[in-house]
Amino acid sequence: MPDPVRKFGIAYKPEGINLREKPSPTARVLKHLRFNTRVFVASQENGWLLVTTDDGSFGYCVATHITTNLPEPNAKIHWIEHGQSALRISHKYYGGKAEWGSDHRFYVSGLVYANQGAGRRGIFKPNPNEDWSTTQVLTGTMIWIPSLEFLKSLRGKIPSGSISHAAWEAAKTAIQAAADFTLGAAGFIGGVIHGALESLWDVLVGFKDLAVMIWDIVSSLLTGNLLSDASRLWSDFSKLDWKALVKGWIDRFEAKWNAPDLLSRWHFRGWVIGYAVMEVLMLFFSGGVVQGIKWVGKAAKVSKILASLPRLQKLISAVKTSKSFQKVATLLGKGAPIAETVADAKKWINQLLVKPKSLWGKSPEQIADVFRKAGYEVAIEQSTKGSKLSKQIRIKGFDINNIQVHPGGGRHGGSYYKISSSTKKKIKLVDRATYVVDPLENATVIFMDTGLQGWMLQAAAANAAAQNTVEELRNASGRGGR
Amino acid sequence: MKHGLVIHVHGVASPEEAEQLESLGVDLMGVVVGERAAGRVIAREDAHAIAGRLKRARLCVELLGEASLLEPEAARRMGVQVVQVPWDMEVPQAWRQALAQASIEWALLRVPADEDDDPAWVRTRMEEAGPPPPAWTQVEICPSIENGWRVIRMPNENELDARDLNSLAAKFPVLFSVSMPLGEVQEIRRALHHARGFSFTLADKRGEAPGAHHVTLEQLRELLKRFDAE
Repeated sequence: MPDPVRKFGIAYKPEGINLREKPSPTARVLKHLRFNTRVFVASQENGWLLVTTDDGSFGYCVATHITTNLPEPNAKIHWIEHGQSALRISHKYYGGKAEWGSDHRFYVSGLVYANQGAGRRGIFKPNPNEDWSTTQVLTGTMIWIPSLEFLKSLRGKIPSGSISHAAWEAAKTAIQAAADFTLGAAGFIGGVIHGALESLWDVLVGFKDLAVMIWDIVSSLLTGNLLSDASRLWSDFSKLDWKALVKGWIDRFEAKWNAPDLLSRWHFRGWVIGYAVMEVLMLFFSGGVVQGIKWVGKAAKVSKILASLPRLQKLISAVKTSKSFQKVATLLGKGAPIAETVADAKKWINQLLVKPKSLWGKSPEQIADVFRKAGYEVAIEQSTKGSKLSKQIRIKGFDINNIQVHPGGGRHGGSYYKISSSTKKKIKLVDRATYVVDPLENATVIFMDTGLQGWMLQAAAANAAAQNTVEELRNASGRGGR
Repeated sequence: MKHGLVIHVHGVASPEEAEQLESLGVDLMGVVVGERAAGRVIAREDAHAIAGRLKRARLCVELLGEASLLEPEAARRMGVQVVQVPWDMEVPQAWRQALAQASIEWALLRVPADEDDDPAWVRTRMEEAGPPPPAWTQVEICPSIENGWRVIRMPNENELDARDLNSLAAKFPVLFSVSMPLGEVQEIRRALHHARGFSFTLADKRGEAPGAHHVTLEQLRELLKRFDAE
């Protein structure tokens, strides 16, 4: 499991660093982050950091390419070149904007203060009690450059000119408290991603494939424009009465929502929104069935409101029409071949009565294909009454003469496969979580504990979607909206 | 009274049984013929002997084994008037035409009505062979549930119910095989009033014929009496 970090970080390698799609040196490079690019570090795992940028990109960076101990949120990094002095550095960063005279004494002191502490020896005074003009620098080392705005705000708090820990922290707190979306954007986006993933995780336990699929689609859509999306989302969502909406879901909501710490506050806001938005998206993806089966959404109340917002409906439409969704839907709908060769196909069908569990998750097309590959005539028939997604696979000339795949919702409630053969009693493969057993049933019933998979999941979702779950949700939001 | 209902009994194992059943009003005498006679599976000679005892009822034979499509000439020699085939068996058109030319009918056995929610599944089984169609079809009501009538009797908009089966029987010659407690005979007959008839499968100490809803000779006698009493 990744460890949360939730801090700002800076890309400090002079040549810049790569933002990758996955935590792997061979993963696709999404973007090259230039030297001094600020990121929000969401978490770390196995030497990789999950980061978001101020412009809305997100991905993974090598942990050793990012430093996270920013002395203040807008600080940058400087590599000291040969011949550079503390005063020249001060001039370089503050010169054009600062007044001459006493200003540079203060700014050099600020540079020294910002670079105190373990491992920060690039700029220092050999004797702390000596004048600022004794400040030394070490060529080839990295130092923090606090922003001019920060140092100015700090100067206003210390009339004596002597920088103290308390004064520095007070200035940081003041900046963070006043920070708007612009400064909190990366943290907010990090929170959106974190909340979305957590929502996926909470709801889709047992539905790993679907969770990965949804995340892949959503992340591919959001890459590159999350900032504008997030900014607009925040613009829409900040007007809502969140306190009322999250009542009963989140403890100490107000304290977290208005936390004085910049990143805590914006990350939490992003988290709440990301969580709720993902619930809405999951409702779309699953037609409501996932929540129906597994869990009543924590953010249900919020989700209902969000679902009615044009911005989110636009996002849902984008998801629906995206190539990746179409591709995944096709893959889920058909699935990979059960057997590649005729010999494998014959082996699989001959063992089916002994190993019926191998059917679980397979689509009617997959099943029909494997029988065809083994040389049998097969027809798929679709029901027109009841669960219209129930399908019959009729096999001619084989001991197994019929296989029914039922996505659920019928007399038995849950999803099942039914194998009819000439020589054996009927075998039913049923979802333990949802199937209602008839005690007088003669079939051999085999319970599956793995939850719905593959085609069954998609079919169950489509079945629920057909029952207008999403429509109901919209109606509910219409009644419950502000 | 049977009111024109056709009664089919499957698994008749001797000329004596056949005579008894005919006297009870059975119209279609189903026998199971196999290469090795055992239980309610009889030899071809036994089937021929049964045919010789029948006065009114028609002999219907199901052939077990690899070559399970009975050739018209062999059927004629046995005195068979209907060749019964399980629903999942291939019935080539040439074979069906040859039977028709020999004035022998064919019928479908053990079509499970609860294989799907959709009655269309049953209809497809009757139609898929093409002409000449089966003379009748034995439809087993909920063969995978004991007392399936309990389930199927309830009207259900979304799933197969008795109304669907009755509508099907209005269009096709169907003999229903159903778990039929004595107390429910009247209700079943009324609910399935379009049925061409009912089918019963024998099972007792002697053996068990292929099928879902089994009755003993004694139970069948009581049931047929109840049919007559109404």
